[in-house]
Amino acid sequence: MNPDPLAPYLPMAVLLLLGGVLAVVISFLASFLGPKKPTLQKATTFEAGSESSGHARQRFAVKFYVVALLFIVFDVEAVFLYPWAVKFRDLGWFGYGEMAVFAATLVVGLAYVWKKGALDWET
Amino acid sequence: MKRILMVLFWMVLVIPGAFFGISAAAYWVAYFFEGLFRGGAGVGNILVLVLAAVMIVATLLTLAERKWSAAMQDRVGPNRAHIEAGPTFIQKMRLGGLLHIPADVLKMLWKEDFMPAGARSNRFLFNLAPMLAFAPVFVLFCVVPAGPMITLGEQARKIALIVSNPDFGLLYVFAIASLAVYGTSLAGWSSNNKFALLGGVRASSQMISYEVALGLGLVGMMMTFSTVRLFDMTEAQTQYLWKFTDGDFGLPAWGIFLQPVGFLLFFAAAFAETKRAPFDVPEGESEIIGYFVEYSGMRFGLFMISEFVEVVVLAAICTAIFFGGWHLPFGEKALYAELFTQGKVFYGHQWIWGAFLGSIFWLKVLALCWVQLLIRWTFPRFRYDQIQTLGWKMLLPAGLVNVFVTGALVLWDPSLRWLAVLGIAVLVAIVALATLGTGGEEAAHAHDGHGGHGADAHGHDAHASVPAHVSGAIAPSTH
Amino acid sequence: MSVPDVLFYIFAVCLVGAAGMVVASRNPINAAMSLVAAFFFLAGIYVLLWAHTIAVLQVLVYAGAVMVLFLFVIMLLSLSERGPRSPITVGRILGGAAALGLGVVICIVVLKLDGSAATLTGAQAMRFGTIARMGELIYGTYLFPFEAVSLLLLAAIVGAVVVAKSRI
Repeated sequence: MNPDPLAPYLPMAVLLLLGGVLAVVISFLASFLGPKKPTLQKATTFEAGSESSGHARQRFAVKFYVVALLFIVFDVEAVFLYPWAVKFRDLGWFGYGEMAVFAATLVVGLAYVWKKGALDWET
Repeated sequence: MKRILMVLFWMVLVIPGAFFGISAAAYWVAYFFEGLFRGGAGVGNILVLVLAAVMIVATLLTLAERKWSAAMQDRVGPNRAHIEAGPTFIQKMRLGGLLHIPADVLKMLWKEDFMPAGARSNRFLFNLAPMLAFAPVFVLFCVVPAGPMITLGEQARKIALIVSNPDFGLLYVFAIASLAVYGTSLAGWSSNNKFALLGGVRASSQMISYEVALGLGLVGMMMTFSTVRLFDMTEAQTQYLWKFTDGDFGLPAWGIFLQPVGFLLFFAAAFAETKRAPFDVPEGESEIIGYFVEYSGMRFGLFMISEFVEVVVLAAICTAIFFGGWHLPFGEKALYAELFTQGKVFYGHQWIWGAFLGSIFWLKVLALCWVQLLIRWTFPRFRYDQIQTLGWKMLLPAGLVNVFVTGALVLWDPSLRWLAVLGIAVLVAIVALATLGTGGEEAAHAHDGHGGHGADAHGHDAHASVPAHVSGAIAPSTH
Repeated sequence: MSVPDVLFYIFAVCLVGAAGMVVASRNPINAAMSLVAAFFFLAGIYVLLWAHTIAVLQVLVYAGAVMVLFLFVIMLLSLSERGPRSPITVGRILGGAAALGLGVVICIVVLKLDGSAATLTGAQAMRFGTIARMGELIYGTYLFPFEAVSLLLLAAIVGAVVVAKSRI
């Protein structure tokens, strides 16, 4: 019997759809079943009882942005590791060396970032 | 004494029995659906494994978390919920607090669902955020195997307890888990609340920081077993590293013996992804305001339940990769030969064997869930800079070192025995560090050889996570 | 039409629709979320091309990592929720022309491509874009580009730090 290449995707698609539908249904039920008694007080921004001041469209520390960029770089590195890990035994020591060179370059980058203090959150 | 007997009764009979039943039901439902259309087994597994087993365990965890925290703090925990109707014995029934679960669900569903004025300009994103937090977590269980492939019924269909077994296996988990970031960041941003924004950005940044360690932690296991499929990884763990007798007895090639560092990396990183204490800076319930501060009723409930589903899925993935999945540590083949081969008691009833192993899987999952509860109620919260330092300066380098050490040992000795020797040595070192003096926390961080940082990474924060639900609180879950 | 054909048209229509939303949406965060949706449909099309691993990596890297950075940047800059409807400028016309030109180039390349992989069926299709096959190609045939990628990533790391901490 010739296997259907789409076979593993059928249950996966069903589950993905079900997850989405369930999330929508639960959210809908939440707004449908509860009472609706809006007051001015309820509509204010909750800041643990204090009067809210200013607005929430503020800029935040650039560190978060650096972390997101570093995350992409190391995520891509990890992505290259997965196929390598699967073929690892066949590739042997040569493959090991290939990946060592690749990772060493990125470790240099990590050391640079570390040295520059982009990973320090204390300050 | 009576209480101990009660606990033993539950642990030995009721819980394994319930999981035996669920696994058996999963096999037969999958069998039935496979008869309806080709590939139906996976769809059947969705119904029983994801909708029933995972969701039930996650729901029970909401109560178990409160009960266990109570036990650790010498309280009784939630025990008041009861039914105010019917005969006296029903009114007196407490069921150990079990009725708090339906009480919580009903309460959250019927609460007013209101939106702060500031969020109205982004109504769509505000409503979307809890869905984006829940849906990815809900579908994570897709590639996790919960029972062996067995031949079932008159049509002799081959059924395994797994929803889908694609070639990319674990990568599906990484891909879908990475989407949960949108739930937190959008919730924080669209609430138009400074504290929610701060929580949302912190949560997202924390999640992406640990995602790299999450992947790196498992690369070692992919290398040892040359696959990314969880099903194949589980099956690969049946081999013995060393056989101690001529019979079916020895040290199994479980991931925990081969890759203890990988396990710690993955476990710590996945724990940070669930955003539970000690990693709960983005949502600290009692003093810091989290990214979901503006959500009410069941919309908040979606954030909360996704956290518990994550706990279950994390435990299930750890079980499949590091603890042999549904396999017994040893003696499995002997037991099968004793009971299920031609002429033996259960010959021809393969589903009993499958359901038995399925219940083994779920018992391991429960044990790992319990470990997570233990950690969550033991450790004080990390400061945010400590969280980032742990992720980038310890877990990431440790993960890279682990990959290359593992690689060298696997190539040097493909039988994996030297890898296991190193792994067991690391395990012994961790246990020794944990028991001798310094306490568990340093040991948990000392695994990567940066033990010096361990002292730095704990305890500065005086906010030991104060339980939000005080003793004997009635239905409300203020998680 | 076979099932993959039907699925292709569904994914293609949804993909173009989501991409249109990215351009048309005036709220930058809505645009970013539409792009995430577009990546999902693109992953579906990859699956139909039997590029199984690329499909999941598409979600992992683009939807799960790159778009998170986009979202961060939008939130970091606190771009106004509704941008002004700007008039047609020379820059916009040039941008449109460049996009059109790129589209023509892509069309030409696609027409010249060898589309034999898409016609694979059954076990062949199952084996085509697997992670093991990718490993063979990257670490065998395309070894040099792979090592070059590390330099690109290194440049990205240095660039991120330099841009963010220019005062150092």
